[in-house]
Amino acid sequence: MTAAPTPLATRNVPDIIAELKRIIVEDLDVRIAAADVTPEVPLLEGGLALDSIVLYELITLIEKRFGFEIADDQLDTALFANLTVLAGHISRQAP
Amino acid sequence: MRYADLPDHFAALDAWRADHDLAPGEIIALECATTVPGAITLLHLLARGFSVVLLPPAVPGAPGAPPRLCRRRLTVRGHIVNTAGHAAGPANLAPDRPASFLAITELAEPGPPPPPALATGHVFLRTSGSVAAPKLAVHSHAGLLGNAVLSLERTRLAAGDQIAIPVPLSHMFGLGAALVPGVAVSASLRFIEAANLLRFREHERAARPSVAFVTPALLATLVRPDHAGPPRDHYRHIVVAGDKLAPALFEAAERRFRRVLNLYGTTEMGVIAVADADDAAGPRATTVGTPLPGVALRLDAPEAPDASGAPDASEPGAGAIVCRHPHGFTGYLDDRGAAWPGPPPLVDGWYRTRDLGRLHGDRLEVVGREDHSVNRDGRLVVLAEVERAIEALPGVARAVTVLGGDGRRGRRVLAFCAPRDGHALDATHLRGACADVLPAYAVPDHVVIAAALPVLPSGKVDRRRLAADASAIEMSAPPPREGTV
Repeated sequence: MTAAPTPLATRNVPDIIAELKRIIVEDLDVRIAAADVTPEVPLLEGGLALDSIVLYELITLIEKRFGFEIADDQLDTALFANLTVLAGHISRQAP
Repeated sequence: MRYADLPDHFAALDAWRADHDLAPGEIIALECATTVPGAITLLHLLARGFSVVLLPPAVPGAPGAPPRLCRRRLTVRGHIVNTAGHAAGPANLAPDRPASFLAITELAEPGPPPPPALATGHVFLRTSGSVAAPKLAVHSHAGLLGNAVLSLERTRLAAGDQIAIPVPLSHMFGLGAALVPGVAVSASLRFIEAANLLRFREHERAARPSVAFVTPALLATLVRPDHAGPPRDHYRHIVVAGDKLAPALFEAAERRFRRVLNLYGTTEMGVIAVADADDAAGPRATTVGTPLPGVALRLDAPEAPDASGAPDASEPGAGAIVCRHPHGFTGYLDDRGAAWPGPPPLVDGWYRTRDLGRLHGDRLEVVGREDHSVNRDGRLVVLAEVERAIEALPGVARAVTVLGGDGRRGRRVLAFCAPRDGHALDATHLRGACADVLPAYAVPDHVVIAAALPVLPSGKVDRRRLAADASAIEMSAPPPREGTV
């Protein structure tokens, strides 16, 4: 884990997408080029193909960075369809 | 679909096979998605007496070419993942229309015709190797069924169960512990294709399973120790096969899933031992219970793990697990279907699993691998093969791997690398280069550049010293992104 900075308090979806992209490219231990991480690319099969362990890391990093917990019953594939959907959810949850 | 519909599905598959001139006597390579059509196709081929080589859906970067024992490959298309490991396009897969989910392809360079005795009535399972040529473990249909029924003694699957199967049907765990026993008792089976924590939770909410079969790697992502949530009371137990769970993970899993039954088995012997649900949590946390009825175990002196002659100091008191099983495999074939050229794997019916274990009374604790290898992400990683792959990279003179602590994918792997004369190596860059030549689960978690590797008076690399260095490195600087290769 990188040192957790102060939670990023923003409801601006483009800003959240940019931060999610940075987390995926810099913080996750996957070999994904920044150019491949677009707002609409699928995060699972057919796109970035994040596996279960990487997804777990991503969820943990999102919770730390944005300062809220993703509830168990909200964890589904629809939420992680792409960065636009995910950022929309974060913008509604962020403190 | 209902069990009562199975004869109709089998008849549709009979018709499809007739169209493709596929009859028992041809050994077919089956690449099988973890889906209802995948299970139906597999059960159909077994019911009709086929000899089948089971292959997992292809994973990018992992060895996967069908064995030359087969002339053709039958692929069960998945809803999510196609055979190239990419997302399937929009597909209208219907379990009652085989043409919608089956594809058959001719294979290049088939080997010689198979031995007639093996042309029907057998299942061939590939043994996992990280890089080396795979071999095939041979099981008879009767052996596979006997093995599956025996495992019911402990997994206690029953007709009323809702069973979640997120593990591949091409591996002994999914096939011999989940699918075949589940069908044998007419339980409700639900398959989770391309399982990850999101799909598993969706499934859990919809199906409320009573039993699930999971790997430690998936389990580690399903249980969040800091906010585990309430226990799921629809579970009776989950069955976990693979490396021993860390105590914190076991405890969190027991809270969430009611009970955890650790299972020990191999591709060769099928299910060897499973913890008893009636056992107290203590023995269930550390052991895989007693051997199944009729299965015999003994512990032999372990081999020295490397050429230095020093036994592995990390598991004192452990012995090499040797097993005799009434329904085990009958031997190996090489990838062409010829007799395996190595030493006979069965000696008077006893098979050395190459796992290390300890006995606590009659209960078995599995502590690791005998041959300097490790199970990561459910796959066997032979560290010597990782070393050879790294040594083939530019500028690397020597690479030596040692095991670190537990990561999410299994034990962490540290690679100590010495540069060639006149070359400079950069750890980050070298680890990136490893990811280009090794499958993700085999990439070392840490690459350490060392100008010179410590040697014993014999001139051999001092692996014990490196293991001590590895502990120190992990203590002072835990991997920034644990285990996520």
